Formats: sequence, C-alpha cells, structure tokens
Amino acid sequence: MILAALMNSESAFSAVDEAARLRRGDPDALAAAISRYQHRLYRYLLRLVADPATAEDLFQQTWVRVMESLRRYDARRSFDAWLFAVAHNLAIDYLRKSRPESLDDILPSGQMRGDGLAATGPDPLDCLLEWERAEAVAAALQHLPAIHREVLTLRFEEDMKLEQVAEVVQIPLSTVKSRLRRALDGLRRSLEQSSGGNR
Amino acid sequence: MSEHASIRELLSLAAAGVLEPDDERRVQQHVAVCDDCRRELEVWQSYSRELVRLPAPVAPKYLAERTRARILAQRAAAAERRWDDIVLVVLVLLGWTVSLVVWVMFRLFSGGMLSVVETSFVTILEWLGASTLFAWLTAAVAAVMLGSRRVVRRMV
Repeated sequence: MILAALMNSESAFSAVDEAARLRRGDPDALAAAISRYQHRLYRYLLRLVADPATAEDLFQQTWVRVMESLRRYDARRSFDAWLFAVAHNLAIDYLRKSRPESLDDILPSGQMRGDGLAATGPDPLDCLLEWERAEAVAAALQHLPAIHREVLTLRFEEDMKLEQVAEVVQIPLSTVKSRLRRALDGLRRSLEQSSGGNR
Repeated sequence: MSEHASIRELLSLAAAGVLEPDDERRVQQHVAVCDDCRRELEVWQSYSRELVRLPAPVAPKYLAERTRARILAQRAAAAERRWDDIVLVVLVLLGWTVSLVVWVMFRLFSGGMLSVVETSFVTILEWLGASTLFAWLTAAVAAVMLGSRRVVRRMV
C-alpha cells in the first residue's frame, strides 16, 4: 500500500514534470510522451473511427492540439484522461463532419488489424479458438455505433474507471453507465446473431 | 420491478466491474441463490473477458516520428511568423521615425529653428500624411521581402 502510494505520488510528480518540460518545448519530452502513448491512443482512435488512415491523422492532430493547449492543462488531473479527451473531441468532430446523420448509427464493417494478438494458451487449438472468439468480438464491435465502441474500448481495453470515461467523453456518470449497458447489450446481440444464437 | 428483474438489469455492469459496492453486494447475494442469474452473469463475464483480450492494433512504426516532426515543423513555422511580425513592426516604426526626422531636418536646413517651431497645422498634416505613406510603403516592401523569404524556405 505504501509502495502504491509512493508510486502514485511519483507518477503524479512525473506528470507535472513532464507537462512542464513539454510546455518548455523540450523535444526529448515530446518524443517520450508520443512514444509512450502511441499504441493506446492509436487503438482508441481506430476503434472510434474504424479507419487506419483517419486514425493516424487524428493521432497527429491530437498531439498538435495537446501541444497548443498544454498551458490550459491542470496537472492535478490525470494526463491520460486529458489526452484521451482531446482525442475524443477531434474524433467526434471528424465523425460529425464525415457522417452528419448520427453518431449512434451503425458503421459498415471496417478492417480490423490482427497485429499484436497475444496467444494466451499453450495449446495451439486453444490459441486458435481464442483467436477466433477474439476476431468475432472485434467484428461485432465494428457493427456497434461509434459512441458505444468508444465506451467499450475505454472501459475494457484502457481499463478506465467510469469516472475517467466520463471525463474523456465529457458526459455525466449516469449516462456513461447507461451507454455502457446499451453497448454491451448491442455487442451480445450482434455476437448471438452472427453465431446463430449458439452462445 | 421484482428483485430478480432488477438484478438482471445489473448483470452486464456487474461483469464489467463498474457497479457501486451496494449494488455489487446485491448481485452477489442474488446469484448465490438464483441459478438462472448466475449463468447469465457467467455469460456476461465471458464477454467482458473477450473484450479485454481483443486483438490490439499496433500503431505504425513511422507514426510517432512523423507526429514529432509535424509538431516541430509547426512550432518552427510559428516562431518564424512571430519573428516576421516583430520585424514588420520594427520596420514600420523605423520608416515613420525616419520620415519625421527627415521632415525636421529639412525644415531646419531650409528655414532655421524658427520654421520648425512656427509650423502651421496644415503643414504638419501634410507631412504626417506623407510620412504615413512612407511608413506604409516601407511596410509593404518589408512584407513582400518577408513573404518571398518564407516561400524560398518552404521550397528548400
């Protein structure tokens, strides 16, 4: 517990220190920050917009915006949540412009990358089944509306608490909860439909 | 709504690990005695596990470097714009000052100290107009020079 507290205070200090270095325009701090968040931020954006080229562009825009608005960053807040909130705003703006009808709409299936898939079981058959299940979930995820994909990826892939999700998405906690429930219901429905209701 | 139905509503969120402690306790107490809800919770838990284990897309190798380069280029461009603005203001002020100094010198050499002191309002306005025109011409020339310098840099 003491160790955890020490680690928390250390990470809070390093966040403050890092923000200060970024504000000063330290190129090393910039490279380190981009490198540290690159896979998480890219994954979040890709889940949201379902297009690798757009996710890459939004990734770059996010960091440009972060550097521009770093003076407004309150170091007492979580840097992760702030960074993802910046990315969220840019992605939602993009989705509104590209698909002005509604963010609740279901997207056509997008390409999913299998890169980085971890083999979790020692048995090749288990690995294959595991991989197939994961692919099925990834495909079902693509059939959900963007705002539902977003809460699922923040909760399960980013392992964020509901409060952090609310901070990123900038909606009340109760709305996050109901959105998460609807997203899970939609995912289950989609999976059950695709597997013919075997599950 | 019956307790069974109300617990059923909470099962997906329970599997997602986002329930308040009180609701979590209610769910655990209920599934301990209700086989139907326990099975349903297990199904939701399997979905949660699968979501955690989703294939993780990896950012392309060039993305971080390209992002860093874009930010540094934007920062350099912003610094250059700031510097150009400063140069422009200094040149305008210089142009104005020079024209005013020339006016005073001209009056001094043409009519002596008295003609400087006894300048009429109309003459001042004329010279002010001329000096403003001179300053704006200087600014325009400076702007063209700075603009062409920026174009050359961009091409390089």
